[in-house]
Amino acid sequence: MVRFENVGLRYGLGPEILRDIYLELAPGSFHFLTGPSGAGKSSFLSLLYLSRRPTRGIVTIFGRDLATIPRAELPALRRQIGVVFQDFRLLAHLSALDNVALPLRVAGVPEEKVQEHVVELLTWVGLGDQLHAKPATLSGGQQQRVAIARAVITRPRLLLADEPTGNVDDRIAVRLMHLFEELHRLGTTVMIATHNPALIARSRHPELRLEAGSLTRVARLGAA
Amino acid sequence: MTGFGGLFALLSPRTGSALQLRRSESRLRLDWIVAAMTFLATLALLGALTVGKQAGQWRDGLRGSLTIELPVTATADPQSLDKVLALLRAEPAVARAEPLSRARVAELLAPWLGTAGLSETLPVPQLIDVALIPGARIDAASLSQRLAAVAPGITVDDHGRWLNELLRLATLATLVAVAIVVIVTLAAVIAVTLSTRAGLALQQQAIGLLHLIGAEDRYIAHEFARDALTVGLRGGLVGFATAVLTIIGLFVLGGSALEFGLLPRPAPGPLAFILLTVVPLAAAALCALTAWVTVVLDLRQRI
Repeated sequence: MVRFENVGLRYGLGPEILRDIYLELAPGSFHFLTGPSGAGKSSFLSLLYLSRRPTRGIVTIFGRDLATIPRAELPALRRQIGVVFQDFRLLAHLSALDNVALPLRVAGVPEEKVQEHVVELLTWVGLGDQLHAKPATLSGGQQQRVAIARAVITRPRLLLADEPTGNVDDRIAVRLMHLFEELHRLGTTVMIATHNPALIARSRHPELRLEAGSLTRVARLGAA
Repeated sequence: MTGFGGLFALLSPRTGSALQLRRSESRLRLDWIVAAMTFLATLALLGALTVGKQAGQWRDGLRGSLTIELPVTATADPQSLDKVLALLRAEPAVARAEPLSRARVAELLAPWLGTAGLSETLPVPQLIDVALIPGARIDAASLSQRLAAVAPGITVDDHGRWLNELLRLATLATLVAVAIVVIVTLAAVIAVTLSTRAGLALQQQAIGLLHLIGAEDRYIAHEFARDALTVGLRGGLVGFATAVLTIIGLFVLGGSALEFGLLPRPAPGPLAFILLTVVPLAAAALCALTAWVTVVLDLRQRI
């Protein structure tokens, strides 16, 4: 599914943000990504969601070498990746429904199906009564749920989430984790970047730790 | 986006448009820029079409006619006019030969001698207006020689020199009009390009998000092109309507200022107006196409 070989990343002529990264994510796997702020988690995720190419090494996603994928083929690959951004990146002028519908509309899904799926998912994440609310009128937790719904609406093969439960209470966090688990059970490969040790402790999935640009696998008792 | 299919696709509404292009200040001004460009292009094109049509009419009108001038000395003999007319009417190429009345001659001389009328004592040459059979030609020099035998000093003017100068002027006017249309088109393309680039800069975050969720460049270009089409259509129609009102005003209020002596008054035909309706549509299509190309070229440089 995803393979990193000796990957390094730097911005311009600056120091390497990521270095010597080796990683293999099997299809249908579930990982947590941890590490202190500034360790390079967001940069690492940006390689995974095809926002940038590595400055060295080989990144292979869905069997394709990122360095050689023609630009015209990136949209089709990106449609197989769902991303929950730490800052949500919701479009302020669109309603919750239209924000979540965006990936489907971009993919050319017929509008009647868009409405059906989006309403169902937003209702599932507890926003059935906020379908037409603009992001500015939603709380941080509600915005986060809209962002998560947008990331999973296309049933992606790879789901990346940057602090997806950072702004919600425990009850909603558990509910969202159930959503991720459900997608994982259906075959989606999941990686969640988090600072929340309780979230990790509640599950049996492996933890990858990024520190000073280097990635290590954290040994966990009974890890999957 | 190619052909009319692409244009029609732009007119179809897209639900939940991801880009908020109407809020950009520069785009609001684009309406007026397109309106001004369409106004100028419409006037220039109308000028070119009218001059082209008129040049053809002038050519046909003047090539099919002659003006014969019987000098004052010859008019002393009352028989000479009849002889000249008889000779002219006997020519196979001549359809009609009529002497101009003294009142009509006075009318033609009015710009120089005033409108008070000709003094009875003022000697004026006798003019004869000759109309040729359509398509027929006559050798002016040979005719002049034959006429001189019955009326010495007679001159035959087939308007050739004047007509050539007039046609050269008409060609020049048409070229200037075409140059104006080309310049206006280039200026419109530059304006739309700059406006689109401003829009791209303002919408950078939204565009980045669209790319990350799998939008192709053409999806984003479609958004910009659709907006530019709307703006172009609005501006184009305003500019076109203003130009048409200006033209109507010019012909209604211009009156005799548009007369050119013996020549018919220039007037755009209905075909010209039909052709001109293409201008606002072309302006809108040009805006959409320019926006589309600008976006695609810009996005191609991103990952």
